[in-house]
Amino acid sequence: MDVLKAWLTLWGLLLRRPVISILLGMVYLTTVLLIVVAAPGKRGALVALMSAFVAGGLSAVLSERIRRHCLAAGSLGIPGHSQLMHRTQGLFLILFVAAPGVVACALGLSPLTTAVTLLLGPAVGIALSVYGLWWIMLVPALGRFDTHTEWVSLPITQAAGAAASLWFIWRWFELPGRSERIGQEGPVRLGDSRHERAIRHSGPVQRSNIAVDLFDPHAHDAVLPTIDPNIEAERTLPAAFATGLGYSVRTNWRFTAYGTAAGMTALIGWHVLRGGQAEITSYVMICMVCGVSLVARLQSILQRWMRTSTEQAILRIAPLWPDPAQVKRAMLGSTLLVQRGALAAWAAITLCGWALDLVSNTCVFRAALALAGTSLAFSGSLWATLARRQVREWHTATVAIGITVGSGALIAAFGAPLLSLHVALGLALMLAAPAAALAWYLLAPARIPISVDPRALSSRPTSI
Amino acid sequence: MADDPVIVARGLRKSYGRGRVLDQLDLTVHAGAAIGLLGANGAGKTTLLKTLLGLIPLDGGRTTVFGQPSSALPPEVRQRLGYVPQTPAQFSWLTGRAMLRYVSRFYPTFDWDYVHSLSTRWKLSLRTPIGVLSPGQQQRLSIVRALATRPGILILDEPIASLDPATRIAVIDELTAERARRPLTLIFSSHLIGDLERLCSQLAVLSAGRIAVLEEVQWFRGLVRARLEADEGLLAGVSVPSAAMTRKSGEGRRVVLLERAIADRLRATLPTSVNITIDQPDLESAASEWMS
Repeated sequence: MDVLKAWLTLWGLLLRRPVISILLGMVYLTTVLLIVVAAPGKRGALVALMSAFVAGGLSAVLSERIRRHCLAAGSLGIPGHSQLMHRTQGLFLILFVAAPGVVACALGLSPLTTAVTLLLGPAVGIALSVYGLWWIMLVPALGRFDTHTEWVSLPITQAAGAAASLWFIWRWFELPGRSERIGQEGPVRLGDSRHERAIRHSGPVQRSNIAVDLFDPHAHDAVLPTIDPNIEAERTLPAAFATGLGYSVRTNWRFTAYGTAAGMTALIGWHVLRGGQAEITSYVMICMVCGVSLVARLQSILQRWMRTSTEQAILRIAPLWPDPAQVKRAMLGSTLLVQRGALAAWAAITLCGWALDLVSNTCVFRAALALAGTSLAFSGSLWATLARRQVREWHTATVAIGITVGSGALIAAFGAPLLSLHVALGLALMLAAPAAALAWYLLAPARIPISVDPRALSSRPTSI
Repeated sequence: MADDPVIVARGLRKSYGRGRVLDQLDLTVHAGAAIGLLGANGAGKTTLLKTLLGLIPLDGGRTTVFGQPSSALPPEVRQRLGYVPQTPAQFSWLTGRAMLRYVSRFYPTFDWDYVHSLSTRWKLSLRTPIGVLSPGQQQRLSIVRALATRPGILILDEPIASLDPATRIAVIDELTAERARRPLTLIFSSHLIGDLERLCSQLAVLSAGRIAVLEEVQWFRGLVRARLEADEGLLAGVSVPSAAMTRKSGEGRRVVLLERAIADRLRATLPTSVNITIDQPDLESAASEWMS
């Protein structure tokens, strides 16, 4: 009976979601196809690797859902909830780590390699979900070892990796209890009906890119006089919305300059340490940081629009609230304005690296494609989300835009041997989906206040 | 004209998933009315109020405010609307003063003198970030914000649930005084019937997706409750045409709300095999019968 309950919980939290089911099916189908064409000696490694990716992704999603449910369960005082979550976590590990491990071993992979591969996946997923994305900045350190890959195959390294992953997974079992305790202590506002589900009051400590403003409550007092008194002036609308809905479209140029300087230092320092012209590891990492920064700013806009439906309702009935077309244009302007800093920093670092002959033309071209793809994919996803009647957690449109733009970027960057017009085709693919999303957003009725599915609102971050 | 309808809703339908919240709801609000909106949790009070303001799309039906469709209210109509949402924490990243300055940009007639007067009387700190105010202070600030726009229609969605008794009374008194000073139509959703009784002239009960009853407060006070007990077959044949409400409370049991004079006549005409007890419910009990 406990196993059945755990299965039903796992199903409800994770597998019931169409996006997850579809992606899971696609990954498993790809794995089977690869196994068929792979050499017999590689099949075990293939199973372990693909299963590790699956376990990593699913564990990240599952951690987020467990945390959210346990916060609510803690506030409601539901008995035995954390025990059920522990059983669910155990079942997850059996299904997505132990079972593929047995298959990989049966296909000839050594038990130690199997263990480290399959444990590393969920450990990384848990770390991503629980500790956030900042620790990914440590990855460049691994670049020191990228030419000495033999260390990865050392038994001692693998044993250490497996042990560290196991420790992470062990700590993961503390997540339900800890989240429930936080739920008990924190102020939780409960709605009075099913369609107004329990939503954690995000308050002044929620994730936002305007953390500085939150800790300096008078910052917006200083901003307000700079807003044109005639709020209907379209030129100032992005800034006016940002002030009213709690985000910022301003670019912190000083911070951008510091970041650019740090990036240039890293690029040059890396070159001095490692030598050679085609030192792409550090440059790739710098581009990734720019991409993450750009995505964070775009996501902050979406998050704030999702979390401020009450404020939008108040403003929507004000006599000087602009007409829907102006609101849409202002939103469009906001999505472009918030990307300025990251793009400027990337351009400056790239120019420096290119001028000093630290990065090749091909490398710059591919990095530009990657960054443009990131910008287009996430902007398109934002527009598609806002065009919908109800903002939900996942949309097929978001996945489709990501896949199309990603495919376009890959074709443009690497399609040379196969296609003669690969750049044109790739760029067309990159632009098509975001352009469609933009057209959808501009044509769809303006949804203000935004109707948000409560499941799409994430809880306050916690740590284990 | 005091009798002019300022808000008209006809055949409103709204569902969330499979759950229908509003079902062919009709409502007419006349100028100068003060309507207390009652309903069980999840009955659809918030949905109804948002619908009247055009804040959520309808599945069917139509609403008008001052003759204009709620979904596309012109600025001159929006100028006359005030709204206090259920959620007290609004603009929590701003200070009270910054929030009011921000909102005032959208209202040409924002009354700063009134803000200063109310914030002094209600001991509101406008320099404190809204996010760190208590829910009660946040709600007071929200009411100040709505009143300072000098609305002709003020819609309040459970605005006093998080207030202490003294502040609740102060808010009710202020709203009453405002109504005395100038024409103000109120729709006030609350579970606190005592407060509604003090402020409102009419009570509306939302049940099963419709306005089950909308009458003067005095009318509710004049009702008595008759409990009928008899064989179910016998009771099935008993009808009370003038009853305000009849509810089956169990097998062989009925609860009927009706006026005192009709209750006396009913007692006289019922067969002796029907046991009838009559009591005088308080306003809360009377209104609650529609929500049972």
